[in-house]
Amino acid sequence: MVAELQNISKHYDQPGSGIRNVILNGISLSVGERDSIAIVGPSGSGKSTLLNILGTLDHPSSGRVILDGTDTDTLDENRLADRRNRFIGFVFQLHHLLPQLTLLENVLLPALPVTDPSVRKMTIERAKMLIERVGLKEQVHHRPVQMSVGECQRAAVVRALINQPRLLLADEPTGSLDASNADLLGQLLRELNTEQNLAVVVVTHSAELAAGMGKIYKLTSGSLNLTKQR
Amino acid sequence: MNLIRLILRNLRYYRKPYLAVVAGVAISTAVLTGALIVGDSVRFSLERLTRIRLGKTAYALQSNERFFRQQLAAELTAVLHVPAVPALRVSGMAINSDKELRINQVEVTGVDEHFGQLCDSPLPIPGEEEVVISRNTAEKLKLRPGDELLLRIRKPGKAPSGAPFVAEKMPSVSVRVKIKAIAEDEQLGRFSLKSNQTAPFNIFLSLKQMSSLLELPGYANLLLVSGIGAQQTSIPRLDSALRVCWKPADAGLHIKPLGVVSGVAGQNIPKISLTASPSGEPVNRDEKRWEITTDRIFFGDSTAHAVLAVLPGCESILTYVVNSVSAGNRSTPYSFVTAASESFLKQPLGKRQILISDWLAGDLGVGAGDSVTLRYFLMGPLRSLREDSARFQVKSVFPLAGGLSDPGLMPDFPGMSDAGNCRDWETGAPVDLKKIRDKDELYWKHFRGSPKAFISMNDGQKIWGNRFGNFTAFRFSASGKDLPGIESVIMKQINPRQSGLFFRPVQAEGMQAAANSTDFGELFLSLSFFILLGALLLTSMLFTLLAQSRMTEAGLLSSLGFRRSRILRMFSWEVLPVVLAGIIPGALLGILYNRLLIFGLNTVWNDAVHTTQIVMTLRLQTMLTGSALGLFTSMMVLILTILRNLGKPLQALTRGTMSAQSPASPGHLKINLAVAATSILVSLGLLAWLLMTGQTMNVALFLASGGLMLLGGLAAIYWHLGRMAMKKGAGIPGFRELVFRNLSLRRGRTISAVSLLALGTFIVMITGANHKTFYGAETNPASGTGGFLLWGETMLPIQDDLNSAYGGSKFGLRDEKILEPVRYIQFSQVSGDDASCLNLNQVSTPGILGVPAGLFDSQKAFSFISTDPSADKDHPWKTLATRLGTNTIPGFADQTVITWGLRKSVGDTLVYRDESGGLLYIKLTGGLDNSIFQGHLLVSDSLLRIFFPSAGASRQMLVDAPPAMRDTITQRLELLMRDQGLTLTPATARLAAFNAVENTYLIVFMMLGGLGMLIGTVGLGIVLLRNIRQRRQELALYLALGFRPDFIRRCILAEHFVILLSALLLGMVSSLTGILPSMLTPEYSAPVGFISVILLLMGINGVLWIWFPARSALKKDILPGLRDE
Repeated sequence: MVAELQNISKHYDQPGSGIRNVILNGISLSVGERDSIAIVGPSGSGKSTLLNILGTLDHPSSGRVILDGTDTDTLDENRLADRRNRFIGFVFQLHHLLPQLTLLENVLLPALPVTDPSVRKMTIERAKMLIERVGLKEQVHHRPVQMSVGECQRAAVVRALINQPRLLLADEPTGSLDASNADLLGQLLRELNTEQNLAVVVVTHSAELAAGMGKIYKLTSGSLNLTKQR
Repeated sequence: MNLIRLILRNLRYYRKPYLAVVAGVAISTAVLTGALIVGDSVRFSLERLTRIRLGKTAYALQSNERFFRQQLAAELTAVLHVPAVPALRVSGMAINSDKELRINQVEVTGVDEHFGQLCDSPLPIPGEEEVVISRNTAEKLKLRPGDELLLRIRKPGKAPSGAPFVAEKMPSVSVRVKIKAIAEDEQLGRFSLKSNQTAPFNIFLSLKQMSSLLELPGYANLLLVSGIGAQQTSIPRLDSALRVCWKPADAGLHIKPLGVVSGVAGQNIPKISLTASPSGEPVNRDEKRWEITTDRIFFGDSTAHAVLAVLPGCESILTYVVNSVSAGNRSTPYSFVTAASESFLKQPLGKRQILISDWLAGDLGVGAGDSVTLRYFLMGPLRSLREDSARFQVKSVFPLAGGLSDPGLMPDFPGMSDAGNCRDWETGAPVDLKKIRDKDELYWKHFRGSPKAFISMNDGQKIWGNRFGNFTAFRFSASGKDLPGIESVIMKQINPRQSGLFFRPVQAEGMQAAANSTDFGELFLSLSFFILLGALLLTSMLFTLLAQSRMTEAGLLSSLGFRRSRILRMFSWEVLPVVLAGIIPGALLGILYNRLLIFGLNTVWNDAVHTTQIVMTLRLQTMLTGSALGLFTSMMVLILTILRNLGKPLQALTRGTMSAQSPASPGHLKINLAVAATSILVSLGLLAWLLMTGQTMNVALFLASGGLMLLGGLAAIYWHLGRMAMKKGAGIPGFRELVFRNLSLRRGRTISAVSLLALGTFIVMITGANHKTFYGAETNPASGTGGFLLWGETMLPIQDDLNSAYGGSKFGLRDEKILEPVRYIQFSQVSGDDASCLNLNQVSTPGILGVPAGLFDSQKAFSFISTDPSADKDHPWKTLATRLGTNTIPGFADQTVITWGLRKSVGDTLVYRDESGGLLYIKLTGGLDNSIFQGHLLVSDSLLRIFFPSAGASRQMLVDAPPAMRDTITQRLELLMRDQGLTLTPATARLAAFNAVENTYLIVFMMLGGLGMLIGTVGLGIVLLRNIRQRRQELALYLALGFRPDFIRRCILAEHFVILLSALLLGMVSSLTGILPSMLTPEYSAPVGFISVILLLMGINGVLWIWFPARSALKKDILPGLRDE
């Protein structure tokens, strides 16, 4: 099992009012190797929160997050960061490419902590290969400002993959893209899922993107329900 | 991709915002470096001034009122192989009659050709009736070479003028001289032995002419030893050379032979055994009689003890003038009576027994067994005379001719011994000429001062003993010795120090005083505090904008698996080159800032330093220190900013930007409220306690109270903003509520802005209100003037009590009706360095003033900041009159002098050399509050005279008179005492001169503070612009909802006016608490106008920085802000 959520709950207290907003209520989810999962649901249902918890960017109010067999509660902040660096790749709705870096540099950003020269060399080669793979070979030295939104988002996917993660988390990856770019990105994610042995979890409003995934879960009223399994 | 490359990329990409940060770093580094350079510059300038005022002089022997042979210098040169230069230095008065200009205090120095050895460029030695004057004297009197100058020089005598029967014959001598040349700095034009940056007005005469004018031919009172080639010279070596070279004349002693002792007359004369002569020749059995007398009339105790130690059993003599010797109704006026040891009298004299001459016995008609009464004057302070009497029984009558009596027993009283007849006597005491009979004149003609009677030494010392000494001569017989041999034996026994002859390492002392001078580096760092704060805040604000714009980047890095510490470290490494880039121009800017400060000190802020000689000194070490401080402070600020803004990188990514603060939690609100309430209550409680316990002078606690009020106020505002943020409105919000809601949305920024402005207002108000003024305080005894009207200084010491009939008449004060209500409080003094804030050098032995403690106590004059626990709290002045030990007396000084001038505390002790070379300890038992005595150490007049018998005359005085008559009295007194060089200053003006230093610092602080405020408000302006930019969506929404642009502008303006007004109000209220001590002092006069102008300027400055960004808020098209959503 790549990742597992066990009985996850998340709530926010409104200061001074005694009111508690329950976002997630006892959710469990297992992500196996080569799984492709889409999580859908209405706005404000807690999809991004769920994804952030799965990606260890956020902490649940209760429940356990197991990554590669390790309970994340047992990891301190630093070890969690290391785990995130090597095990998880993120793709956001906005690409968050750094405007001061070129496409290649942006892609290589997650490999910054790597000190071994041979690994660094391999990483650069891998970056170039992935960039070529997503059709951005010509833009390798472009700055984000010189690229289209779709190209930036594809670059963001490459950045997420640079450290060869086992789990790719994507939060509305097509939310800021037009239909053709959204299709391209959806296809890319599916291909990576199969080619790279990568488990993919996507939070999306897009029915098309969700339909391409192996499993579709719907998050409503804090509960997660499997609606489709291929 | 590696870290360095990433940083370089970031730096390049964000170069514009980073340039602004570089500017902020540069400003703070410039402030730090510039302030530190001021410290170096002032220290270096003082050291330079020390070298200028001393030239090559390394050691000096300054004997003031004691005179030694000029030849002593040549003899020391021969022994030491180092140039030793004699000089004669006294005070004087210089008048340019043509232009009616005068300087009442000039230093007149007689020099010879050797003086040139001490100068870098030889001083032209003036010829007869010529002078060389210093540049400042020439400028003040508008004189040029060739012009004439009237010079009045104080004429000290060898005998101390305060001693009994020493007449003040001619206190000064005048001479018209021609200016030969102007002495420049390198010619020792600023020559002075005092550690002070202010140059004296120097006038140089030829030593020959000077000693001739003062009737001290061949004498000097200053011996300067060159430091050139004096590596081996040291104080012990100089002192031992002095002991080898010095002669009786150098100690004011005269050893003279009286004749060969032979026959019966010599049988009873004590034979003194002196050691063999150095040559070892056989002792000659012929005996000579010798006499030792002193120029000072009376032998000082230490010298007398030394003589008695080397000549045990010698004849000791004390001759005194009695006003009358009477028996029944017959009286003999003005006679000399000698108290002598039994060895001289050759017979024992019992208690109150007297031997009288046959002349006196005949005049009074008495014989053995009869009683006679001696009436005589005793001399008190300021030559005040008290007649006392003593009754004696005649033991026997001796023949005047050929007996005990001898005209040589009369000391060489100036004004008496050389008088042709009794009516010409000048005794320094009133002589009733009507009482002098023809037979008395006849006696004087034939027998001069031959004593008419003798009493025992015990009785004599009991009734005539005085602070100047108890002996007037010693006689002895010695065999086998010539004069040099006897002199040598006696002089070896006496320590030159006991005669006031000792060397001081003036060069080393001067350098030390300069090195330990007021630390202007520290001072200007403090004065530049606000500008530094402003620069750092600006740096922080500028960087905050950049940091906030990169929060997503930090979040992204976090999501990519970067550890939090690594992300923070990456940003910290990134800002390091930015800081380094700011430091280099900052250090250079520091030089510019320093030039500006030094220019200010030499010109408009000159009251703080009293010299125009401050020059910039650049030291690499200081530049590096300033740069390192700049690096440290800037890095700290930037790292704090990074931590504050990027410390939680994940939140930035997962919860959006952090620019809008999350609502306050009730817990936080409670803490805020607790801080606010506690601070305000403690502040008010402290205030009430201080007022109720009468501690109105406890400035520190009042300031603490003000500071707490400020803190409490800020906490209260923050609490209120937090409450507003939590408030849930039920209806449509009004304009006011909207304004406060908006303020509470970014209450961190709001409180930062209020804090900066409130702190600025607080500081400006505190400094402005503490600007000292003294209008209407002249008559208040508790004030720094003591309630006295005028402060007077004379060139010539005033020997007499001006309040007495004799003293008043002497100066014509009694003849003036207008002067009838005037009272004079004269101070005895011992010269020393000026320890006031006007002197930048650190002094260890300030000048001492002997004050009438009883009078000050009865008038409850002046106020104290602190007193020793042993002091009487209600009557602190009484403490001054109590001796604390054999060589320990209490002393007071201004608290500022104790703290800053002396770097001491109440309870510490200062060490002086008394007049006889012994150690005198003065324990600081009280610190005065800002008085006109600043610069002096105050001791009891009566105690001072014990240790410094010659210090009896006064050169400083306080004048008590009706304030309405101040100008008339000043003019009249200055005219009547013109020859004494009297200068009167209103006591308030003197105090104002001292306060000018403090006030100048306050002005500097306020000006630099103002600059800091300006820099701070630039930051505020930037934040305001940033706020508006961040609120584009909100503003666009207002527009989309149909609000009028004018309403939106008013809303923005109102928000920032609330910030401005609440800050000004809070700063003012807090500062009013802090300045209460000033307001409660009687002499306080609130500088309302001054403070109003400052506040107005601050207000206008704030309004400008609010107005323009607010006006421009809606000028750009802000509707795209909506699309960003």
